[in-house]
Amino acid sequence: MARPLGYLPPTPPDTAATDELDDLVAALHESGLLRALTGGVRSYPQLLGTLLDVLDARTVRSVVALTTALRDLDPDQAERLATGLRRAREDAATAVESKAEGPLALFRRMRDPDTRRGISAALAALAAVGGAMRDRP
Amino acid sequence: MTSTEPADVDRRAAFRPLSEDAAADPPREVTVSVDGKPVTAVEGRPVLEALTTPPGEPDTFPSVCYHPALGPLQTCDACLVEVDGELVRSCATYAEEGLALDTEGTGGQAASAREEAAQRLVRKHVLYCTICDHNDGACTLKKGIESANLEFERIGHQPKPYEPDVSHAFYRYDPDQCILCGRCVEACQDVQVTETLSIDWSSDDPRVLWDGGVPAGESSCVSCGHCVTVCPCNALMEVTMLGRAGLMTDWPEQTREPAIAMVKDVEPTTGYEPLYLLSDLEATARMAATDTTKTVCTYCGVGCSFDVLTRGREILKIQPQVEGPANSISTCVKGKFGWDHVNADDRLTHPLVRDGDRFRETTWEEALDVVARRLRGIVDEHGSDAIGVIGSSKATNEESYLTQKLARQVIGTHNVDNCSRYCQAPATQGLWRTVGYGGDSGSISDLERASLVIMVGTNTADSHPVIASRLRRAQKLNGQVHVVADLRRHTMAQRADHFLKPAPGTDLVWLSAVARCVLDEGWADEAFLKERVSGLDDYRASLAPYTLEYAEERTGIAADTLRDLARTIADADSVAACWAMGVTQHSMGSDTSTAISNLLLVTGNYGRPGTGAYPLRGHNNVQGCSDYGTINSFYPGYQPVTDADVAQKFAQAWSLPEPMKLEAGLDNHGMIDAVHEGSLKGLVVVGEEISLVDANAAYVQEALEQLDFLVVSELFFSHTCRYADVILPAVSSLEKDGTFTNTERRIQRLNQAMDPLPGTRPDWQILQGIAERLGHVWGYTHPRQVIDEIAGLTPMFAGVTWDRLEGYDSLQWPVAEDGTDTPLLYEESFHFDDGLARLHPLEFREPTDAVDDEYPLHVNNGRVLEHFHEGNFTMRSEGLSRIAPDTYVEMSPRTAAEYGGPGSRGGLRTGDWVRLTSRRGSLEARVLLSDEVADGEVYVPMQTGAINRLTSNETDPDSHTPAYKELAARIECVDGPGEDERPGRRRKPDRDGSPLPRHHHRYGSPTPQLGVRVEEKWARPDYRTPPQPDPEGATS
Repeated sequence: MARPLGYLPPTPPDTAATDELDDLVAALHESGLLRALTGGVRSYPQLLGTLLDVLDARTVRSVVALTTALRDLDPDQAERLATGLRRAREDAATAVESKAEGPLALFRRMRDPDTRRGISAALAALAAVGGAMRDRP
Repeated sequence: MTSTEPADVDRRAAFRPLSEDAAADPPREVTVSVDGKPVTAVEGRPVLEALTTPPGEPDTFPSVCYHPALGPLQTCDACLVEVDGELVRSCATYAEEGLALDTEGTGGQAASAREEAAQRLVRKHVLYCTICDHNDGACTLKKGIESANLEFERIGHQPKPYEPDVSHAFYRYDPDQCILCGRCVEACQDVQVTETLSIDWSSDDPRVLWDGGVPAGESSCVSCGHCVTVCPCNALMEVTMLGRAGLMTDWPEQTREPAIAMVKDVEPTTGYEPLYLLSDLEATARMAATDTTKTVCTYCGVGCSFDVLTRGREILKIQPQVEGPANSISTCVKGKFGWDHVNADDRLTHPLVRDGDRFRETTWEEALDVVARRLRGIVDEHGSDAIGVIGSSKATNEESYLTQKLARQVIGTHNVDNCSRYCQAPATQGLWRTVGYGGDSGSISDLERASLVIMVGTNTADSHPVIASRLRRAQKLNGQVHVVADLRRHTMAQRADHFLKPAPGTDLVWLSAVARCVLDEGWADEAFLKERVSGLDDYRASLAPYTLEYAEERTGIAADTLRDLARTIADADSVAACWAMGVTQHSMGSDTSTAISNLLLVTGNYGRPGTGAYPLRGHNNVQGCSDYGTINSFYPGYQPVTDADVAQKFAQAWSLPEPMKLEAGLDNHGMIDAVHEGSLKGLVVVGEEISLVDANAAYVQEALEQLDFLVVSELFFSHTCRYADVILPAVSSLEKDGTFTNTERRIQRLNQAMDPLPGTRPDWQILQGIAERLGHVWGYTHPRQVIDEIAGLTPMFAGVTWDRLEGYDSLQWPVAEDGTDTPLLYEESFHFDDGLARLHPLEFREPTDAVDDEYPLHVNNGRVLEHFHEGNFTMRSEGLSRIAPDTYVEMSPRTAAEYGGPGSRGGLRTGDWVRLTSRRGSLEARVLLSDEVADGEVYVPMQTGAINRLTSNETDPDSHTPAYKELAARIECVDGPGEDERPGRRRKPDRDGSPLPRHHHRYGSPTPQLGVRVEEKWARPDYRTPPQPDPEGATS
């Protein structure tokens, strides 16, 4: 004779995060990355030393300065510059494969407004670089 | 609805079954020329399929709106090619020998046209694939525009003036991502045929509309999920996917928006190529962290198969595939969205043993030891037949085989049965009598092919929704005639060409009268009767009482109606008959099933495509459960226990000292009687909610209290668990391997999609554990070993192997050793020694539990779309319960007015609480007024398991199936219920308002039409055929 009884299962713990962590560990293991990471962690002092050997404050400051310069770029200007560089690369490749031009031919190029615009831009850029170097304390 | 528009006529002419169609002509390969190179194509198929690999999916050639299950929609223009100098859509150009395609076109116009089409697609859709939940590496839209060589946006995205629709429980629609391809509309209108979705092409800003323009969650949408499944992008997304599918798709909006804006600003410089690459990388990483597993639905007997996408235990979505043999792209709300039970908080995770007045959590070792010790004790004291084993129609075929093996080999009894006793046994009996096999005589595709389908006592739209969709599609697109006989004017009845409302329990009368009329009028298939059928003379003589006039008198259906029906059925080229619980759960269930089969024989409707008998099986594996031997009178494959040779074969295979006795054991109902009589002492129940689903629940519960020992394996602490001594926590269908057999005898593999919840085990391991402790070491390590053992012992399954069921492959029994299966039975002969079908004489008996002055209302009961059986799974789904939160007592306004009685304030209203009392017991529920139920009758959905407090012990004498549908009751007003006593249920007593929310789909207003009406798009003033650019500001 079995009298009917009730039972309420306890609320299960939320294991979603640990499940996901287990999955990540399994994936890292299967890919071999876990072994690589383990090696990296175990050799951490040596790796850090090696890194410091090639990195100094000057390098870091240079990277930061260059990054800052890139952030200030106007994308439209940059795109025009990039397009110009792309074309320059193509035209230069063509010019290299052609017979070398004589002094007169080179001089005649100065009549071409695009050539003059390019030289102006290059000289202006060089002047700006030079000015910046001069201003450096 | 019959349209004579040329495009609509074409659509009808192209009709073909969507489910696997063995009767289809084999594909004929032809060679077409693509840019001068020979390419193999399938004759008559859209030539686009030959340009893409796999067919219909873009890879190197764009295809966006085309879907192989939907056909050419022609809305996206992305597949334009040139044929004979003319631009044509390759999705609407059909392959024929010698067809020559030029994909570049004159002056490159075809390629330009495709690129222009792609530009228009991204005009309507923001490409942020890397942080899009749809970016699974196979996004149709992304691949489509990529293969159209879209590199830079020329038009740019033009937002629509609509907010995302988040009103639906299961999916979200984002108009701003919608490309207006119309796949969802086509699927809703002409595959599902609920006809909710449309696109108003006359709108200034077209979008997909629900019921012409209401929120999706308040429309006639039945949440079948077709629209979401076929959406080629992220416009329609499962709620479970949103923010969950991708590696970075859970970014908050304040991060997401700027990120998208930044990428859009970069795109004019970079073009799309690096973005395509980036999203491909993300998709690769995402899918590496996502599992895709093919499984089979755990709900009804249609046998839908689909991929389930999971990440650990998280279920991301259900994605049906065209290859699914039963369902293709189709699902119902339960199969697509109803999986919350798998991760429900109240899953059992420890075995429980009864310890005084409580259940104590314990180890598997102790629990199985207790089971073995108690069962052995009963056998030693009272004999093997003092124990019964009840299998589960939810379990796999292999588990069914092991259930009966435990009963027969280990315990030594034929007392083993399953829930088909409650539902399908009468249909099986009717078919055994007349044609030989107890299963559907054809496939779902035969139902699609039939000229006329008779549906008797089947609420197909709610109980077998995907089959209902197939039938509605055949009716809409192919002129299939529907004859529906039912007590209720349910969805299929509302759409029927002929609706019959017989008096309760009188189907046999009108069926026999129609059969007699066919014979008397000379409309029978005389050749078929002469060559393939025996017993005509006796049968004809038995029909003498069934005149049309008698039928009219007894059933209430006019004699002229029945005569016209007889003519219609006799004239139809091919007739298939479906029936379900409205026939079988009667005291004449077997005889009425027989009457249906008799009518099919008289009219020659067996053994040809589009014909046959289809008793629609209710549970996912109720067919397989009996097929594999969990039945008291047969070993697996319907090998009789009374056959000495069979008994010898199994005794030898199972190393029994001697063959088992040649006498059937007790069935479910008999076991309960035997407990009351004191001869049955112990019961093993595999996942069956017997205390609620057997008729006369109080009688069953009293029996369970009297048992010496009861062990139950279950996912949850079910009502039956209350009576158990040991409870063993089992797994869901997503947590195990195995096979299911659907209603069309189709065996399909389900594959484990996730590990079992810690502490739980699949039933095949549980059964093996019990057997081992009782001295029988089975040693199975995987269900495939069980399949091999079955094949060696069972001619019907001789060719069934695990490997032959790989992927979406399936086999329909009987399966020969070489793997040849049988999609259509009886093509050559019937399953009797002489090969002839047998007409079976019948005699009508009056139904039991008739109405009288004290119990004046007839009570009908059954399922609703959102819930399955007693609701142990589906009531744990928040979304399903939001649509259908509770049971109810549905009645007509006239019944409500007449039977309101004292306290009903002049008649019952929707929302009033009532008590329904039968001669056995009562239940309380709210009233729902509707026109679906006839006067003097009420309908009570069974999802809370309460109905069997009312049902009786009366059974069909031929099958011992309870007469659930023969039930009289009285009704009275009450104040309302107490607490819902069933833990874990989401149902909460709600004392006010309608039992169905106002947003329920039955209150929606569908907008029927054929397809997406692309002609209306083409007629828009802002549409130009590519490569011509659309005028500025175009929105379609």
